[in-house]
Amino acid sequence: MSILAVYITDTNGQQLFEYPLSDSPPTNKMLQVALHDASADDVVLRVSSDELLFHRREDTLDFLVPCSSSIPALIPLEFISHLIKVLHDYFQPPLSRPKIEKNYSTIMMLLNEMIEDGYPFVTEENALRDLVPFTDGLSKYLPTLPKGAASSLKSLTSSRLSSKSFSSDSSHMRSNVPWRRSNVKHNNNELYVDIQETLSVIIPAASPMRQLLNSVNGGSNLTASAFYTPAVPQILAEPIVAIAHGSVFTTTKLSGVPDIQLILSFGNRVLEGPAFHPCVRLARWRERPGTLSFVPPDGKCCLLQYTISGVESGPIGGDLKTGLGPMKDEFEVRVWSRVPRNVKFVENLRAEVVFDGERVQNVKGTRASSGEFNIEKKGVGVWRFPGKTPMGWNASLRGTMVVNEELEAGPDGTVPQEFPKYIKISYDCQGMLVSGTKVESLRIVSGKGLDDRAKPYKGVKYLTHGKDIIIRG
Amino acid sequence: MSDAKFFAKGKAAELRLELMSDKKDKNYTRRKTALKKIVANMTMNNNEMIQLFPDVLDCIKLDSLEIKKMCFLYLINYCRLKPELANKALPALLDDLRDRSPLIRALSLRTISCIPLPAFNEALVDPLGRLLRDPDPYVRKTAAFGVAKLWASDGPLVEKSGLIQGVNQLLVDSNPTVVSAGLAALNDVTDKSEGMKLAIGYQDASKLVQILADCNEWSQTYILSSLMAYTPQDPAEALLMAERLSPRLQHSNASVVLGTIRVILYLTHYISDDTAVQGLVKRFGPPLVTLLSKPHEIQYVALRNCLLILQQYPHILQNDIKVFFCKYNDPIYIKATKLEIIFLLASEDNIKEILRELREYASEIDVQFVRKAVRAIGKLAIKIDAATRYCIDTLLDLVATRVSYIVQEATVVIKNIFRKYPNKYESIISVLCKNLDSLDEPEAKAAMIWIIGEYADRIENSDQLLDEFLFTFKEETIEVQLALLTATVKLFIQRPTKGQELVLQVLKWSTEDTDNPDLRDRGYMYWRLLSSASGNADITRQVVMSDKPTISVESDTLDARTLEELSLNIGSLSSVYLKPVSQIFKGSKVRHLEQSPALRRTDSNLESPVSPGYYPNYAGVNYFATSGGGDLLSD
Repeated sequence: MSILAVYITDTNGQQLFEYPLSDSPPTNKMLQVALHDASADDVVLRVSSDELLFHRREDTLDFLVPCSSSIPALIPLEFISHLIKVLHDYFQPPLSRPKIEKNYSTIMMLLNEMIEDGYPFVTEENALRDLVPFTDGLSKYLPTLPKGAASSLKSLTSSRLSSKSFSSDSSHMRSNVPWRRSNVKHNNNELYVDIQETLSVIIPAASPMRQLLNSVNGGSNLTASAFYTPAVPQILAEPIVAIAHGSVFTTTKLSGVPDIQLILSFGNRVLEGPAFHPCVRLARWRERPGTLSFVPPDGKCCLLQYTISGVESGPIGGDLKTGLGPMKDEFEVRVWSRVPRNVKFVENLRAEVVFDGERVQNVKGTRASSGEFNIEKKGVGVWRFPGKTPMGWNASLRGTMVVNEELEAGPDGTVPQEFPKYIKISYDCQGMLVSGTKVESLRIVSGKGLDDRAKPYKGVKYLTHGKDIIIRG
Repeated sequence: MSDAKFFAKGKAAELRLELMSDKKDKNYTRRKTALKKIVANMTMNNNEMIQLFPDVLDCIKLDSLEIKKMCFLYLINYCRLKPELANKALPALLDDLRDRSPLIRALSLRTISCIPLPAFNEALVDPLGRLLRDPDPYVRKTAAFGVAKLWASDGPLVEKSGLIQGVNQLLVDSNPTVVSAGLAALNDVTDKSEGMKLAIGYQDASKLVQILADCNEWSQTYILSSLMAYTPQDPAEALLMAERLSPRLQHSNASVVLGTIRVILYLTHYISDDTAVQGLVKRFGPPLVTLLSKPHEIQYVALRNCLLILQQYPHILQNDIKVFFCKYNDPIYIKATKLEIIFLLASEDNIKEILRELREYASEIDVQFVRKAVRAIGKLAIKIDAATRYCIDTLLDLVATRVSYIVQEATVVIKNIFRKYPNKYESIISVLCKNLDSLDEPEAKAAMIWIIGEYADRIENSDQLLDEFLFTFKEETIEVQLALLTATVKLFIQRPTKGQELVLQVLKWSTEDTDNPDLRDRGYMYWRLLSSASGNADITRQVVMSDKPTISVESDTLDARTLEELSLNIGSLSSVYLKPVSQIFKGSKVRHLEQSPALRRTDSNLESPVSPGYYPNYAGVNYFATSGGGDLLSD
């Protein structure tokens, strides 16, 4: 089982970078043919009787990794994820054609370390920075360290790789913190915690029956909760699914080998399938769930990923009504912000109105109380609210779908009126997590090589990324 | 500085000048830049660069790691085209194998082992033995992979050199990364080899599990792969091992998670305590759900493997069904797999919720997915007896939309419902009959025609309905023609007066006006049957209207042996396709459960398909000397 080559191409399949790992790996041309013949549901392609192709599009690039057939499928797929992460670390996202072209030799050297005998081997950014010269936007190519003492002295002044780290760079394998770069030194010691939750919600279509029931029960009560006061009384369907995928990041710029304890509280929520960075001591977590005890890698790191289902539906709500107006051919989309604690606004709010692009020619007579609505591609209209949207606010959009005239009439002789199929809302909301997760405390338990008086912990940032708030029509 | 500027044709001569030594070029900046240009051109297959071979080789001796790395990349790239020139670089590389810096030793070792030229292979054997015992772990792990690469390019050379034994020694190394590199190398060699096989005893397996936590994620995946070479001899031993592995399920690397699931599932075959097995398997649920927040490709592999695990252990995700509900913007391959999982997880308890959800999918824009959703509803009617009525109501609701492809798909599945529950839900036939016009696909037409034929005596105007279909008989596909032939015969048997005229017509068409042998043969058979048995209609009825074998959805699920083989391949392509390895790749090694006193007796392994002596024994088979009780991993 092994990786046979790594190709990076643009989205037209034109090769930008090639890194062969075996005698005669399938060429990019062969892979492009295989991709061209593939159907949409071929995630893994068979290139020949014993060769597979794993591929992924990221930014404006395609990463193609042909492998021998016995490889466990997730190894190349995870490898591609790691490669992208490393390239982001070295060259800043988003990746682009010029960035690849500018850095051939660095990417070559990275892959030379990342893959050993066709196996992914070192993919931690920290370990790689010890092995391959790191260039950021500010400095030029850093000289790598020659073995001569004279030249290494010179390089000490200009390089972040000290000659010391060079001679001991392989010792990271010996230490019990393989993920941490050796001899980390920072002038300003800083530590940040970022917790992000990506929220996915599916809200069912409001059936007439449910609306009736809701009004009998007093309607809006259903949506009121300890968290939110509804800004607009709404008759709303309960979400079918409301899942938050959370990630806890630390950004550490600490000298020496700091040992950190971070205690999180998840309220009464049940954490499903937490997945940890290798630096987290699992035994401590088991003793007391919520306790993350770890020696972090230098820089940014994702300590913990978790899933919580059955969360609140978030600070933004919306609904869709159809069959309105004198001709019963209008639809109305409403979007509103609730009033959660400690949050003043949401950003990048947008609502996509998804309809059947084959049947609908256009949307006419749109009237938006605020924001801007445009058809952006076949079957999708986007209603944008640039900048910040305050809390306790609402907006509505009305319009009529113009049905394609070439459509055949149904059995009753008329072409049925079309309405939006889905509304998809997305936004970013800083300062709150939809699951109510919080940092209880953070302590630097011990910091070898760290100044005792240093108060590096600069605080925590919460971000809820409403990604797919889907309202079914 | 941009490498992009480096692409200029006819640059070889210019680059050669830049590579020349020059005292002013103090930090080799100029030469470094020139080499970058050469590497960039090489990457883009500018073969003009091959002219520079001697000039690049001259730079190898320069005192800069970055320059060395670029020279080596060049060498690896062009060595096969210019073997005699490449050979000239060998002495410098061999010198570097004795360099003070472990990085340079490792770099040159890696370079030599990547060059499949006989001179390089032979020159590497001796130093490799030494480097496997290098004081630096980085060098030792590179040496382990070096042996695997050397083996791939000249197996006999390695086998007589004793290097395999050298790698074997790494398995007791104090550094976990080196241990895993050793294992990966041995795995690689045994994978490609006919004669060798990895076998690991309990003590050694136990030590591997112990060092697992100290390894990086990839090393963990190799150790997990090699744990499949451990055959538990005792149920308690297998259970303990599985317990100790289960924290790996919480790793953030998805391939570690699936690798752990694979090993634990493998171990369950050797655990006798059912409750313990259920307890272990239950732990798979949450990590699998967490994988659903990963990129689509990873989600897909995770979902396919869920499907496989659920066939054996349907209860593990019973309460999580909602996480498999589809979003309209999921790619079709994700939606289709989620739909299959929803189907597997459906039970009497959640059927109403599931039907509401499937009804929703049936109004999506994506026609392919809508069809799958309608089919799933029909299959649920067959799977869960108590839910059939709800399923039929949902289907009728869908038929009422009068959307052609929905009606057709519903017709096909309703036919299957009639087959499962004969004479039970005939009241819905009249609803279907109202929508005959929208049927234009052969499968749907054939299904409707089958229903009409089967219930010809209960459908008031069955003769008229068939007559309408028969109008286009000659243009129909063979599938529809055969269905029409049979249905008309059934009509005749049940209602002779109404069917007489039609049956004669159809038999004539089928026997005289067709060039399809199947249709012609079946036509003749009916004809003979009807004419010879004319005195005894009962016989004809028994033949034509015989009881059909009942259908179930079980035929969709995998048999025990396939399931067992697939579960040994969790995470591989065969688990994605849900097909045995041998069906996907000819000649690949088939995994099977090794015999042991602890192996649970199941239908699938009662007679082992492969005798234990299947793999020829190789002298060095037991890399972990299992015989000695193996304390090999300790110091």
